[in-house]
Amino acid sequence: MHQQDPIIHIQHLHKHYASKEVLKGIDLEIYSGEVIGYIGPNGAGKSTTVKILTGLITDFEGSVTIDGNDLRSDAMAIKSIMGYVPENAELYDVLTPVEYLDFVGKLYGMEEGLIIERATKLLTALGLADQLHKRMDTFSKGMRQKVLLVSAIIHNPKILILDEPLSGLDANAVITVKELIARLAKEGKTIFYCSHMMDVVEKVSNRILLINEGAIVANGSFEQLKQEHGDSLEHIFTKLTGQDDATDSASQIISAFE
Amino acid sequence: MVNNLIVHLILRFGPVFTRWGVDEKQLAIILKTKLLMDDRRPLTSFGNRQGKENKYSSWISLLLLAIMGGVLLFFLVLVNKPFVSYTIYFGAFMAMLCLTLIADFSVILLDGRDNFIILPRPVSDRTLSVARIMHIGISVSKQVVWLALPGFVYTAIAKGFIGALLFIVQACIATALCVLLVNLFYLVAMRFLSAQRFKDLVAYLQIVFSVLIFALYYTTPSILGSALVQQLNFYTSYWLWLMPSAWIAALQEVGAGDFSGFALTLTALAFLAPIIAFGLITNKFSKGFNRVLAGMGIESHSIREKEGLIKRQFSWCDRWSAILTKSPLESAGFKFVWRLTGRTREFKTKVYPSMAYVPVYFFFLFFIRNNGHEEMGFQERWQMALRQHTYLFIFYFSLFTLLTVFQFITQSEKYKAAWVYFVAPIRKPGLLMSGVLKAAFVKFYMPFVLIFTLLGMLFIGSSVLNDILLSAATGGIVAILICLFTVNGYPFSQPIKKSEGRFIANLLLIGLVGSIGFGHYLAVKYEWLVWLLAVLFTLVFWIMLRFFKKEKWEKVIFRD
Repeated sequence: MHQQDPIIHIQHLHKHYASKEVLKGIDLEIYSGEVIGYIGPNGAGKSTTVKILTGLITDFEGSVTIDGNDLRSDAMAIKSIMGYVPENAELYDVLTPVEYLDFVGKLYGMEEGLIIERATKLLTALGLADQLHKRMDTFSKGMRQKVLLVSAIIHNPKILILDEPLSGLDANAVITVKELIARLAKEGKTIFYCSHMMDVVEKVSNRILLINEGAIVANGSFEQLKQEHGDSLEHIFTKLTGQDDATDSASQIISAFE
Repeated sequence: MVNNLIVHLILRFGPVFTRWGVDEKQLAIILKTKLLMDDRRPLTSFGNRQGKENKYSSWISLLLLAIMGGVLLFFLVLVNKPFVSYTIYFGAFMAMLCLTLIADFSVILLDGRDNFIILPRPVSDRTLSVARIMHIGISVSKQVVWLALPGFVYTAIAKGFIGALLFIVQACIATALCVLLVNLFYLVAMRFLSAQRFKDLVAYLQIVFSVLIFALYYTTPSILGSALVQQLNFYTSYWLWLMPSAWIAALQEVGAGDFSGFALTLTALAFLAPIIAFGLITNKFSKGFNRVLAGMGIESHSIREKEGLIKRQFSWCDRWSAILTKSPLESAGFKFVWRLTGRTREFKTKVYPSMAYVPVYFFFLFFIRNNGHEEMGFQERWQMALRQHTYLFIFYFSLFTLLTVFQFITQSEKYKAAWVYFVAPIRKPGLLMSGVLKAAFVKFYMPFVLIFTLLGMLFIGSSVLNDILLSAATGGIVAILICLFTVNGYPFSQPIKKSEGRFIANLLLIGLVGSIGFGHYLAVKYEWLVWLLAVLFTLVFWIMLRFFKKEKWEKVIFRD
């Protein structure tokens, strides 16, 4: 089905924290232009995978090859083609968006002129035109999230890793970002999308990976998963992560007041 | 356990609280919970930021308090006059307490968690504000015991049983008054200032206070010895009567048998003041305060349009960055450090005082210090300092600011935002760090050099230029060494912690600065030699900077 080589190739990826094994041998091939929806319950190993891919965690077992480069030996080459939106919207908020993007862009080796030009265009497109030169400590979570999104694409990366990118965004911004993801994928960018929001994952991704207790338990398009496991992504999720008794929990809660 | 005991003790007065409209049970549970949380995460005091403190370090800080309490004894011993001695003693005592309180109170008062945990529950404004006052009172009283201990012992010995007993009452009133005054000040200030401005104000107050204490430490002995204080007559100095510490001091006079109307009036004031302040807080100012506080979280979303707007006109940051940095990476480090050091509150409260020490010490060195020349006037001292080249000392002393700058430049409350360094493809971290170094050097050391040049040209003449060049080149070399040996992270990338274990490195660097400075002092008579050294050191600085840019910075690691 895929003629080309995978842009991300993960083999036998293991990760231990002290004696606890968080990732238990992950094997993955991701191709250019794919939008991967990466889902799983809390503590399943989602963030760990993302942190390894982005180069934040460097001690792991197994091999990760991205765009033909080995993550261990050519981390810099890989980092320069990757964009990342982290989960908890951490940024230096005493800076203005333009100042922050100037900083980040330069870390990627970009020239100031280009950074300012792109930053202005991107921020304006996301509705932050009036906030370009305001300190971000007065920003709402959604506004910060938009700045982070811009900081992830300002260097025009091939791969985008998004960890809950919609959190805090209002309905209009969610539509914009979903549309953006689709358009970026069309341009051949690869998107690795981590989220808890099943309905969004269902819509934006063309392949879904479900991770549970450090191993991938489902891998396929939404249509494929539906045929194998059930009708909605929520059902598939609870079935495969062993939380079938979710309705039971609700009954127990109600009975506590009786 | 001690906490529970204290809370139980306070609740003995239950009916009194109920009469004030305070819910006794809520008060108890709020106090217990807050104190429990404090035990697990100590408050800031005397500039020590929270963190995992071990038992050992908290004992040291208590011991430090006792030592400060001992320093306060100077006032009692050196100024042995009725009223005046205790007025000054308690004045200093209260100033110190207020300093602690200004830091601690902002933590308790502006505890954002209250917004989510207490305010949605049916707790009245009055209950909450009394709980806050009690909370800070209990927290601070643990420190007061140590601070007051030396004074207590001295009074017990000098004045006997009644004096000692009165001292305890005095200390209690002083503490209560401080707590209430700081609280009052906060309540009023918060009505007029936004949360951000208010926090800035607190930070600047802390800076001013710590500089003041430093200045007092150097100048007090000479001031106390001066005729001005020794001849001070309490009965004719009306302005002194306005000081709350004078009212408190009156207690000792009454205890010593002075039952004059004057002493009794002041004593009555001492007892009345806390009650009035408490009434003002609970009745007048606490109303609506919680609403203000609750608003702080919400209003921040761009209600005040102007605030936070950064002017896009000329900026020194852009100008210097354009001149001094070549690659984007270096410029990133430069601008980032330049901007964040100017806007990060924690950094400013740590570093600005250490910069202010330089002029204070300068003043001390030239005008106060009296090594066997008591009869000298200011003019003569100034001339002597110039003749003896003592000014060289200040040139090198100002270098120590850089130690403080680099100590705190890696720390930030926002350290989690540092992920961006580790996601970015930084191939030459040395370049980034050279930007950091240049920004720190230009922003925190060059102003001193500039001022020295101006003053030097004015009072000494052009012969001072080579001295300044040599000391500045030394500054550059030392900055590089400090950066290499004491900095172990990217700027603003690490959690705030107490002093770091770089003791040996710091000591060696101080030794190095000291010996270069001394060498300079020996060479200062030979103009040509100073010029030679200045050129040589500049060259060394330049070469070191080239190598500095190639440094790999492998010790910098990502902390989650």
